[in-house]
Amino acid sequence: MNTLLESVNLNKTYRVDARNEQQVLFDVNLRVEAGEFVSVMGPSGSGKSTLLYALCGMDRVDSGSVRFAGGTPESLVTLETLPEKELARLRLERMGFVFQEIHLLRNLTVMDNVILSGYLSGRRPRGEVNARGRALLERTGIAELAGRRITQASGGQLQRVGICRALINEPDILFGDEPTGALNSRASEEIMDLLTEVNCDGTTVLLVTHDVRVAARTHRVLLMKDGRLVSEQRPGPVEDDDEGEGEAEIGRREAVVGRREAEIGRREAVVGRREAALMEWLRDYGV
Amino acid sequence: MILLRILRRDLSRSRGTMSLVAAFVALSALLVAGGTGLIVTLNGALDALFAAARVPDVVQMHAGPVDRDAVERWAATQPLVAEVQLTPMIVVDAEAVYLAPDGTSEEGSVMDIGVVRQNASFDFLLDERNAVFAPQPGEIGVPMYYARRDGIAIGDRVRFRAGDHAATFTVAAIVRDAQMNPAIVHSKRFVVHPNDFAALQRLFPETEFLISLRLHDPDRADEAIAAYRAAGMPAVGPIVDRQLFRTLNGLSEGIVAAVVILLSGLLMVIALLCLRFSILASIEEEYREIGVMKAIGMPGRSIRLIYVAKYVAVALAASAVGYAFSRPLSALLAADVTEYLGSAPAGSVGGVLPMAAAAAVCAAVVVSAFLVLRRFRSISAVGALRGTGMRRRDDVRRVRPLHRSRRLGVNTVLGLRDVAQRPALYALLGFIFFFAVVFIVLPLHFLSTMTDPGFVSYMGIGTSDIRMDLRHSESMDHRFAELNAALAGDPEVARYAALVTSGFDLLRENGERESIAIETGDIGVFPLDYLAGAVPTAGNEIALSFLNARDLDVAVGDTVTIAVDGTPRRLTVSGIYQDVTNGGRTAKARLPYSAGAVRWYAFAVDVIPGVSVAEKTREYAQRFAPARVTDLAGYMTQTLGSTIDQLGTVTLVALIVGLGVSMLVTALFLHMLVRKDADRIAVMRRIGASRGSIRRQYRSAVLTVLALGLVLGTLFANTLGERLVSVLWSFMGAARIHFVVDALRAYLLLPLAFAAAVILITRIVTSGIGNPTGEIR
Repeated sequence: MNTLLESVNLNKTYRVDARNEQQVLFDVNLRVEAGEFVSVMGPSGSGKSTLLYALCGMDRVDSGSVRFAGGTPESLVTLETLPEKELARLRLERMGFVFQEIHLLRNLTVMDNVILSGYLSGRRPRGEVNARGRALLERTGIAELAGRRITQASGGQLQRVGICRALINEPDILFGDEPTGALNSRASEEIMDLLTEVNCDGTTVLLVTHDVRVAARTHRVLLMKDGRLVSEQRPGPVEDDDEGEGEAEIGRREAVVGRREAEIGRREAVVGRREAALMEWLRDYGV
Repeated sequence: MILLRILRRDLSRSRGTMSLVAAFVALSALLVAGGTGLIVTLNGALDALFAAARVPDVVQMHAGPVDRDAVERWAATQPLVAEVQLTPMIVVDAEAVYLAPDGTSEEGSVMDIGVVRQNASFDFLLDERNAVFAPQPGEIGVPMYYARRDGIAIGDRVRFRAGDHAATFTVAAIVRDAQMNPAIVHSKRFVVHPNDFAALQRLFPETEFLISLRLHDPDRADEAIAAYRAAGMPAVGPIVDRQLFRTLNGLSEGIVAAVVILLSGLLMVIALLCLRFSILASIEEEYREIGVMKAIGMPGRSIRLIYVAKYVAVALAASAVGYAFSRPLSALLAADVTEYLGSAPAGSVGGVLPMAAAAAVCAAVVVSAFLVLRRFRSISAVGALRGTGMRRRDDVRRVRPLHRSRRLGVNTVLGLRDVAQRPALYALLGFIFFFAVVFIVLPLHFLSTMTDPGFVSYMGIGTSDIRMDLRHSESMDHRFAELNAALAGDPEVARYAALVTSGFDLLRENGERESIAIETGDIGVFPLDYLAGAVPTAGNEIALSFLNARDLDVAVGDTVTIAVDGTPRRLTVSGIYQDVTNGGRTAKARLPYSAGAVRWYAFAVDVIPGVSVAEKTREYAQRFAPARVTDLAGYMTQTLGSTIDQLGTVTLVALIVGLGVSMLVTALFLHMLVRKDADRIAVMRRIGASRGSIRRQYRSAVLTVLALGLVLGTLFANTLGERLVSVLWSFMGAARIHFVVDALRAYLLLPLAFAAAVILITRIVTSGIGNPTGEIR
């Protein structure tokens, strides 16, 4: 197993004013393996978003450590030791983000929003970035929006743009902060399909959500309550096949993608079952 | 309560902006109140001076004898005329007057110097306390102009020399002359005891008369003048009226007041633009809150009041502070007025005006805040809550998409796009850059023009290696002959021109006679650029300086009449040239010169190749001292040195003010822009754009605007600015000035200085850009 992201004893306190403090993270220990599809659930105010922002280096913690390993051993970094500038570079090149509010730039077209991060990182020639951007739009089914302004697209379409943007630099990990929170159930399903595909392509995905339907589609669900990780569930892969990493898994994933259409009915049923199981589990923790 | 919370948050968040707006408003109020105060003082002082001096309503200057009885008889028959007075005035050549402590005479002065007795019934010359000055024998009253210029004090000596005779007086008063006070009036009156007057008259027999009238109704001066002319009364000279005295007296100080008030207007505009910007930025920030207030049914008027309250408070406080400090400023500005014109009686109605002016500034701020806040009306509660509606209208302009860019850095492209997408927003900054550039480049260009050797073409002389001047002295004629002989025999001299300037009488169509300085001799040797026409080649031709041609209203081909050896000769104007020396009034002709009327001699000399100009200059300067021998650059600095120094100071001040205002406004602009763009910045920060990356975007945008401002400002200065300077300098004698551009300073160093200033400001302002977790609305 290859650990991609690891947190050790994260603590974070928000200071409202001199007398009013609120600790939102208590000794959070978390490990995400490369290729995993993980979700963090919890009621609002449980600290799950704070955890996400701490893990990706957008926010600093009071104590504890976040280690992030890229593809190679020398690319292991400890986030809290990095200066601001390198944190930004890390987010730009090796992490992708999908937000509930999407947060696209209104002064850019759909295509420009997608390729901006690619241009900013400057790792690849612009022609290549453009080609990748077009391919991503194609793959997410919104190629025809490329030249449009973002005000001319629907919420579900915009979230696809957001995912394309997040993937432009081929990140090691994709973070999602309630990526389906602002969408209707159908658009939400489609986005989860897309994220599953992304994960199947090898990108680690870490979502924060309070939606059981979303969590049910992930491999592993962490439950957060009052700033602590209290439990963990592995709903298991959709195919009821819980083994293997490495070569075998890649083959299996390709098979999954191929079989997807055929399996859709069965999967719906599986997801439905899992939802029920997760609901039960949540009730056990009084959530 | 939501309203108080918003107000408090807004004030704390926009502390920087509000203090800047307050500073601009306070400065604006300060200047407008100060300027108004100056005008009020000026008016009061003029009234007081004119009343104390009993200034005449009409004055005819007349050169020549007067039949006193005839004038008085005519006046007695005129129902308009209340009083008439004839004042004889001794005309003293400038070179005969010794005022300065270092004992040099006034030769070369543009002033016509006259000596009078104190008048009996009106047109009094006043002392420092505005009392009628009555000199004792041996005492003299010196015009304020000279006292100011040379620091002459009571007890100093003034000497008039005529040949071997001299008359010396003790200064007993510095006089205010309601007619001739201002520096721009080229006549000055000294006042002495009647006995001394008679004695002086024997030394200087040339006497003019001032025929002064007081009217029953001062507004009917035009009728009185018409009647005077119709009656054929003595009229060899100009006729002027009280209104002109007032204008001339008020002019120089009036210009100061006008500049101060204009400056205040400019600051006001900046303040209002900033205010508008600040309000719009806070509307964007508080958009949802405004929506909430509307949604819960609060009337739009009350919401506006919440916002406007802040600006009213700031405007009131700032203009009050400005007004408070305007009192000492007025006093400072009016110091000159008080000295020249005396103090104004205190406690007049005018004292309210500065306060009213400051109040107007305050009102303008409040009204403009109200106008901007009218936008609240267009906010719909639902739209605001859903985050749609009026906001971001400015983001929709289509420009070339980012993915088409090839070469430029992505941040540079984003900055450029931003300018293209929000031109109205950036226009504010562009205007400021434009004005700042014009403000600096104009004096800079003019300075480099004045210090360029080519500037001699505006001085009425041709280009030569060396210039020698022999000014009025006992042995002038003798020295001239010596120099002439030396130059003729000097093998190192390639060519030279001997030039003699002497006084001639010019006869006007109406019979008036006026003195004109004409340069004669080898006038064609060193060529000069003519505005029109060419150098006189025949004896019946004359070239006039621009100012002379304008005053005489003649063009090339017209004729003027000059008295040569007592007989009038008609000369055809062959050319018009620019000349800023000798008051701008010179002429060139091939006339025989009369030894008695020579004002000065000059030589223009070219040395043969290989001979050092500097050494030749030194050689002649030693041999022929006190002749002034200089190379051309030296001639220019000696002639125009003080003007160049002043211009240098003006340029420096313009540079500091222009750069300072640009930096201040850039800081303000960016500060507000960063607030306005908070969303956009936060999004970019989240996806991993560094602070430096965002900084480069703003830097690119601001530098683009700066480049536009620099180009347009420089183009403006080089075209219309050049004409503007020409118009201003046409009063000095140069009507068609071509800028000589110091490309290094104007086109390289200045833009670099601007860029450096702007980059520095951008860096400072954008260092406050927030962390990626910043709230996104």
